[in-house]
Amino acid sequence: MIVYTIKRIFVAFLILLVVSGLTFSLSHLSADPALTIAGEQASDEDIEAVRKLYGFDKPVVEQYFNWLSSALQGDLGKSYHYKAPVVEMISGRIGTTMTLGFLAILFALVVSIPLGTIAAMRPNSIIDRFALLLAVFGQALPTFWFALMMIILFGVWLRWLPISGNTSWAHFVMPTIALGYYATPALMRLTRAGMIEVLSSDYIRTAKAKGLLPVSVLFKHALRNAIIPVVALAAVWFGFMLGGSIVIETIFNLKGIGWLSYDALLRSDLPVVQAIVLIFASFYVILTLFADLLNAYLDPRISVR
Amino acid sequence: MTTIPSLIRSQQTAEEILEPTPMMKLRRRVFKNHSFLIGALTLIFIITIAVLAPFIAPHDPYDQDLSRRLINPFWHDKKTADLYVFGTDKVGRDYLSRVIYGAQISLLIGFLTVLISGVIGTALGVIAGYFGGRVDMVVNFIINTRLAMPVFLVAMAAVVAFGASIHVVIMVLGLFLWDRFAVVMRSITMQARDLDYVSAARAIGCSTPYIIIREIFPNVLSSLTVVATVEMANAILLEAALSFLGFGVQAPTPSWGLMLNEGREYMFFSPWLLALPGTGLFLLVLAINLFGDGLRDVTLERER
Amino acid sequence: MDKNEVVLEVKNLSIDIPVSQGVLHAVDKVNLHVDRGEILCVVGESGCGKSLTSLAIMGLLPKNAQRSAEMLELKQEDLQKLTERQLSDIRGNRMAMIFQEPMTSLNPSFTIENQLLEPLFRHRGLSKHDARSLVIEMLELVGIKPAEPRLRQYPHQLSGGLRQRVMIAMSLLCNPDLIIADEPTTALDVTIQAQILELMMGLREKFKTGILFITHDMGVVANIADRVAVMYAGQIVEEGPVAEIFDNPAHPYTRGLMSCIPVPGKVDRDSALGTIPGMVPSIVNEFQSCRFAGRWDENYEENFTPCNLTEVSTEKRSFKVNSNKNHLVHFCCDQCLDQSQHTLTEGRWLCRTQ
Repeated sequence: MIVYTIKRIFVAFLILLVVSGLTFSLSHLSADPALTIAGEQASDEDIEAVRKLYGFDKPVVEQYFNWLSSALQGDLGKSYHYKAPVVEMISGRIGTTMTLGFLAILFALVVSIPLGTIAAMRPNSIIDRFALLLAVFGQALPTFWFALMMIILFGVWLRWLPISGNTSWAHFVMPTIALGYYATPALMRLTRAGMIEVLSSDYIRTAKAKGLLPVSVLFKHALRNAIIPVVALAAVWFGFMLGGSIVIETIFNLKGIGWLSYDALLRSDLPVVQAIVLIFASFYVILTLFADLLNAYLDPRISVR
Repeated sequence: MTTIPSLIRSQQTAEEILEPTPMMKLRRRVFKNHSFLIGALTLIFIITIAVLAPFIAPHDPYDQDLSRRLINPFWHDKKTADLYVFGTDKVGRDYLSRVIYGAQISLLIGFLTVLISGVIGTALGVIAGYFGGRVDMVVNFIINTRLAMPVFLVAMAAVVAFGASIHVVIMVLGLFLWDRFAVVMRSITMQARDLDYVSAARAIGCSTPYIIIREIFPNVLSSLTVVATVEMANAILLEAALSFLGFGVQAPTPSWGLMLNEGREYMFFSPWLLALPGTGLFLLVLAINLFGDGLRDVTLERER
Repeated sequence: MDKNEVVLEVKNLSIDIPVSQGVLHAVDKVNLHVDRGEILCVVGESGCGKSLTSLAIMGLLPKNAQRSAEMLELKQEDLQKLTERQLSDIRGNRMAMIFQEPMTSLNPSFTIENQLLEPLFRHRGLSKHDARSLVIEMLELVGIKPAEPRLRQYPHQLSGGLRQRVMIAMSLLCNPDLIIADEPTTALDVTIQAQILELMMGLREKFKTGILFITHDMGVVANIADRVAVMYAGQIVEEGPVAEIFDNPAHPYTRGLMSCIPVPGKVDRDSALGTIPGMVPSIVNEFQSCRFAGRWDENYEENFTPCNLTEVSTEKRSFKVNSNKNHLVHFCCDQCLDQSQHTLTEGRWLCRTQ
């Protein structure tokens, strides 16, 4: 188990290294960042000076290792546009994004687990078909369009909810639903499949043979086992959701790191983009690591492999 | 002497002789599977519209005329309904024609992206699954690395780096959306590798590429199609989102995502500018998903 | 106390399962009864309906299976009249079940203690302290000593034999009138199997519980049974005291099962073990011909002496064997009866065969 964990952590670090290297080369090989920083009216000498100042004249590999060594010390560089340290810019906004992601995954779980459970208890019933229909429609609904439609309906026509900003909890309602609903079909299907499998298992038959009431058979014996893979998948989806927050935060003008990355891309502010890619990638890697370890802990056979 | 039981038995054997052929069984499954039928028909409908766009569209989707901008669609304004069924956009282009041509863009991006990512993912997956061991470890690492990259953000960054155009969007998405192909192909190839007839082919000295193409590939074709539908839907949604944020297809191309972007400033007074392309997007993705789900059910049943 | 107090009485139990080609008559008019302190073995090959019979008694049949019975009584209480809630009061309390797979019959997410306490909380309403000491007592009784450290363990930390002991302890907790054991030793090693069988016989002596023991293993039957019911294609074909069944098997199927058992000293070392030719017939829809068609073996007649049959029911082709009122044999058709070459001493069949 310990060997397995160490191996997984090592691979996770390796992945982050490759991801950061790829993003770095992608952004530095193509456009000339010196041009962006100096501005359109800058003279050739100015651009050359900027190039020297930021070290753009050095080979890309050297630039990458400089960036990497300072990144490992917790310094992700300075924003080209705002001239502020990237770490400060991100730490001021990450709370909003985390809140949004957390609320969204919570919303997805609260919808999908009861729906999946009821569907599994009565396969092919009306409720099951309804849940399936919801899943199929939900999967086809473009997130950003759904968000816009909600704004028109709840924000403009009904005037129930504020449509932009992040000053109160009400500002989070629509973004949460817009971001969270997209995960519900997958989570619901997994809950349903898991519940159907668990409900037909031998230990559920034992629980019934003990004379336990249906409530405790369902909630104590079945749900607990069926829900573990759902939680693991939800952890991975949380990582995806941080990525999805770019569109949602931009639409609702929620100023988290998703919005920040959009803003930075518009201004070709590479250090900021780079840092956010790294943060998203780290989240994904940590969450999948968590999901894998959770599975390995529950199924001792995995770590033997 | 003929007794009643023996008569009944002879009927049963007659039924056995008339057992349905595989093709009949397949047809029965296809028509029993409503989601497959609905999905396939809708998809064919949309593809037909996209292909025949030049003949169907009442106007040129690029033809601007500021004197007729923001005309209401037929359910708001009966007078102009004959000329502009879905109204016009902010520079006076016929919205129906743009929605019709939008299907072309979405389908084109979907198909080409899946073609690129399908080739990359299948190659990686089959290689990993067939050779196993160290090769498999390396491919696994590549897959995990790809999964760790936030697609949307990196795609936006790539568009910034290489300039926004439909080619860049297709290339970037194609280079990103191969992970599911690789994962599925890897596991299927692993299973197929141990099948008896593959071992037999190896035993009589067939070359590895021959085995992969002739013996393994036909087995994975149906799964490949199912994954392709999932990724196509994914690519279409991602392109729309990219274009919506201004990091994808550029004006004046009639991409549904871009139309949503352009319609956004008028969303309070002319919400149909958002409703129409969004509905197109929704229907197309729904049709692809239904088709894929149905295809999976139909083929899974065959394997059972 | 009346020695032959009946614990379980089942009459004309049928189970139908609708399938795509029609109706599967999985169990067809089965009669059986279990007395207090008695072990009745139901024996038959896989798919003959013996497991479904046990699940039907517990009321745990799959949703699509339909049960019908003329009589289904646990200690004179009609189980068919009970609501699902009332039935759950009886399950695990007055009748308990032990399943075939000890590896999967315990919930992997909960400790042994947690799972053993459940029936006591549910049926006895004991305090945690009392229930715990009862659980420990019961675990030691089934041979888990010391029991205390086992309580905190999870099922995957126990061996198969230990888990089956836990299952047995669980079934005994509320001191049931009837225990249904569905192939409890099939998944275990032979040595563990013997220990478990011995344990069950000991517990039967101690608690005087009636046990319905389901198995496909004639060796197990010989060890443990008081009475035997042989099941074939959804029907009971022969029933009687264990010695009678082994000494004078009357039905060709029972004879087939007997010839599959190697008996040291009786069977030549190099001779092949017996087999029953053919396959179990499909029991979907109504039967048009003999259930045993194609499964005849001439050895059946050569190796077994013909019995003396006395007719008890014309309709069912049921006979007493060698005038023993407890040893009954049922034939599905005339052909089976004729080929067995028994002598008939009484009834309509006598006239017919002459």
